[in-house]
Amino acid sequence: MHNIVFDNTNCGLIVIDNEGVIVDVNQWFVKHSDRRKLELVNQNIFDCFELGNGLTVKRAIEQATNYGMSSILSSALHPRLFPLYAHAHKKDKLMEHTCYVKSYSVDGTRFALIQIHDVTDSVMRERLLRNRTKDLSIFSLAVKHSPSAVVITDALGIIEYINPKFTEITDFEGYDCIGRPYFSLGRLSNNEKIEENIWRMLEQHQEWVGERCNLKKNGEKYWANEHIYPILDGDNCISHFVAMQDDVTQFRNISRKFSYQAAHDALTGLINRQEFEGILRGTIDGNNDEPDTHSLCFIDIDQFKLINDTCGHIAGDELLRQISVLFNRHCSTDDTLARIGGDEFALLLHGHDISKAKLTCEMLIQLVEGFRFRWNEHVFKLGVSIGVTEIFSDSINYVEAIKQADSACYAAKDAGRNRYHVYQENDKALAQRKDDTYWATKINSALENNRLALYAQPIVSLQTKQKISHEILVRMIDDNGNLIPPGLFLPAAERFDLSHRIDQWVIDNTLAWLCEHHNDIDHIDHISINLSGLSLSNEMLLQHIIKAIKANKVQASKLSFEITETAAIANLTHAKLFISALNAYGCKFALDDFGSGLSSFAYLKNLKVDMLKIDGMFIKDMLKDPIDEAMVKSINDVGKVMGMETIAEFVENDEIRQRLEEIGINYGQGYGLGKPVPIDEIIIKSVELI
Amino acid sequence: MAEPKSVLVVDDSRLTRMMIVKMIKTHHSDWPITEATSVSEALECVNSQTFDFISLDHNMPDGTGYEILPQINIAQPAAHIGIFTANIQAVVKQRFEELGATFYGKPISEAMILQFTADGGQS
Amino acid sequence: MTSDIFTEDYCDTLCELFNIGMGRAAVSFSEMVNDEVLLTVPSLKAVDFNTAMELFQCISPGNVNAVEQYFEGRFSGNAFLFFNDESSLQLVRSILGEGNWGSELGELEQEALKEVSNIILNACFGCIADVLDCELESSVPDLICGEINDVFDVERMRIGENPLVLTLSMSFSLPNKKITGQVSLIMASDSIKRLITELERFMTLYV
Repeated sequence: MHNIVFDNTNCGLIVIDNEGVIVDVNQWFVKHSDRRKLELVNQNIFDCFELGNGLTVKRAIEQATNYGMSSILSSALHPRLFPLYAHAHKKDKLMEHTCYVKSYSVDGTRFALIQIHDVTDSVMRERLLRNRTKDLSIFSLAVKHSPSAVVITDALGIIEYINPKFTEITDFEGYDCIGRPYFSLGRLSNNEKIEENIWRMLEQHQEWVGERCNLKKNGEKYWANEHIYPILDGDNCISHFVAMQDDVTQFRNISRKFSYQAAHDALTGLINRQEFEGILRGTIDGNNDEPDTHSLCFIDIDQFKLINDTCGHIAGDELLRQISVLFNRHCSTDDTLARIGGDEFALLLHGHDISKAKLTCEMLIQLVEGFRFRWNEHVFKLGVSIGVTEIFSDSINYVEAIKQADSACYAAKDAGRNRYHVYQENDKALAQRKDDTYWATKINSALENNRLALYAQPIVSLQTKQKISHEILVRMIDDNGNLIPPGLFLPAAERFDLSHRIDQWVIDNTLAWLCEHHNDIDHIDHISINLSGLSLSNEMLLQHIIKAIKANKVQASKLSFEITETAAIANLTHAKLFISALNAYGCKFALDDFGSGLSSFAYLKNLKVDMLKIDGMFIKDMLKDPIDEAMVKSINDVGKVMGMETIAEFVENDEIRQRLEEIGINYGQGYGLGKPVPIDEIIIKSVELI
Repeated sequence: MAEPKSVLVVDDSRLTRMMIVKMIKTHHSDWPITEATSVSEALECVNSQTFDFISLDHNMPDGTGYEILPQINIAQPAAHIGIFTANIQAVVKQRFEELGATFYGKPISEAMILQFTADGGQS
Repeated sequence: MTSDIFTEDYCDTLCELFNIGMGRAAVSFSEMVNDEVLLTVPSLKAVDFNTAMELFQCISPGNVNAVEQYFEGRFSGNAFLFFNDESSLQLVRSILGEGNWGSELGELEQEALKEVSNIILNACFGCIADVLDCELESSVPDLICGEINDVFDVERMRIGENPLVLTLSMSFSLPNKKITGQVSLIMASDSIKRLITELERFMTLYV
């Protein structure tokens, strides 16, 4: 009976005499130790098992056999004291166990009884719990030291936690906030509506992301980029809300300054092309109460180029300023006047049909006829050419309207200047159009006959002695073998939607060139290719580039693409896709002509580009014009903040280069640093250097 | 017959003092024995009289034997000092031995006392 | 029976026995923590049960962790080793090594605390049994976490009539950590009588 109980007990039992000799072990122990009973009985326990630091075990046995005292040998202090298997049949995992050493006596002789309990499950549970606690403390440290302000509320929006960053931004301490509704803190009177919206979204288990103005503890306003999201429990009920805030007040201030600069022409104070197009678009698409008929005028100063060339561009700038003042004074406040290019102005006459617009055009022509521009001893008489088109809401898109006004303006010029021309649907004889068609034919034939050539202009590091890079430029070769500069044929290509074909040709030939010369371009950091807006949405082109990279023909890190800011913004979705796709392979991206057409700095946050190429307009005059210089500095600062490198174009001399170096611009490009050369020369040169 | 030696027993426990006194008396009935129950009493004794043997406890309510051992060494350069303490950790023992005292762990046994008084006789 | 019968002499003797016992415990303990254990002079009080409850409530008003062992032999009683929460955590962690384990004792830590206490109590009482030359069997240790009322649960302890509580206060600390523990012994009156008999027998041997 005694033995049956002994062997059927669901824990290990070992009986030891006062010499440490094993008197008996039960079946459980035999099974889990994978030893035979015969190997154990009558052996000293310390000979059978390595019992770690035997001292404690020895003492426990002695105390039991000599005094009758019981001991515990915990699994924490004696992990896996006996080599026992958790699963007797599998022998894969050692059992965690706790031993109790008890004493019992038979006929005056004391024996120690070691009871072994399997605690593997609770050890595992502890370990899990401990890991979780560890994870939790790591997470809570992360929240505590998060660079974003973090507020945690209960399901009713009552604050339970704020992190130190929140206090840093708002000065609200824990005792100011905890227990109070999140939305009651630093509340602005006009926030109610937004808060209602936020609640509605949160209640539907949606996140809310946006910028909101709140008050600090001292009543000062601050702008926060806020992200609030609900935390759901196991039953899919909201248990908490987490609000994260980034203080964007400073960023907003800079970007507001920029958005004024972005919307306005720095020289004349008139709105710029970008902004004008926006207004035009709004007027045409607008389904408001405004009258349906408007007129759009393009105004070109006839003698501008002459004055600019003979008296310098300072005179040209002064002329533009004076003309703007003149126009602005005589335009109605309802009208929108903009400077949309070098010497081009646009005027949107709201609610004016063509007959009224004609009167305005006549008025403007007379105005300019009577105006005299004085520069030093010279006095200039000026004239304007105006193209005008009537536009009807919803019947035309703004791009088409601009094209019409533009071509009408060319027609006015061709017809002898100082006059206006009204665009007509069937006006096929437009001179400008002819002009464009001429180029379009040429471009088509050049593409078909491969009469284009790649040129490369160096991009030089201004701050470090990095490898040189090159921007790829394109030239056309006419029938006589003469090179035609891009300024002549690219605008026409744009008008006739041929630019993406030119892009394709440039990309094809550049990739082929890179492939052919992959051994000769170690000295070049990367090659930069321009992409037009249309190319961005060309899925085939993207696949083509990826294929070339994947085929290992071209090293992706040697490739960079330049997208003009205007093109990127106009095709934002495509641009983002294009950039992220090629970024993944290691290609770099630069935003070209940056600063000229900037509509909002917010776009910059959306475009993960590596470099900003500052518009040459700012660089060329920056030594003389403090506004330009400030602009260059600001773009550089913003670029740095966003982790982007900056490139300056039009670096025409050493003085500009030196100033750019001081400002901290990363790279420079321009005649002062290197003229465009046929692409093959960039290899030959390096050979010469060696 | 050797000359009787003088003994100082320092211990806050009455039991321990009694045990030591009784065990010494059993073998050396003529030895004069002085008892001190605290650190301050012990210092008073060593500064007013010369002893051949001093038994010193470690943990006492107003200080430790270790703290006063250097002063005893100065006041009683010829005395043989035995430390009788329950604090039998190896580091404690080593510390006392570095100061020239002999270490005995409690509980006190007759053998210990015999060795203590005999040691003194030799030195 | 009141605490009066436990005279100063008995107190002194028992105190010294505890002192020796704790000395032995400290050796085992210092082996575990690999550091010297500092011991204070023990003080022993004999008080009646209700006074003991009040006393303990004053000393440790919050939660305590008490490891209980039952002793049985010539005399018998319940022995306790008390730690407050902070000391328990510090004690276990100085043995198991520091870890980022939160502020509560886990299952494993509870077991470790039991073992450490077991070693101290066994050393302490084993020494008394040794010196008094009597056998003293002990049970395996139990851990009771809670308020003092939970620890001194009369029903659980089955200590009989007019129990007397012997409280031995002795703190042991590690150089850098303040860990204090307190040993208490609760005995029924007849058991105390037997203990006194043992002490008398022992004292007559030497005094």
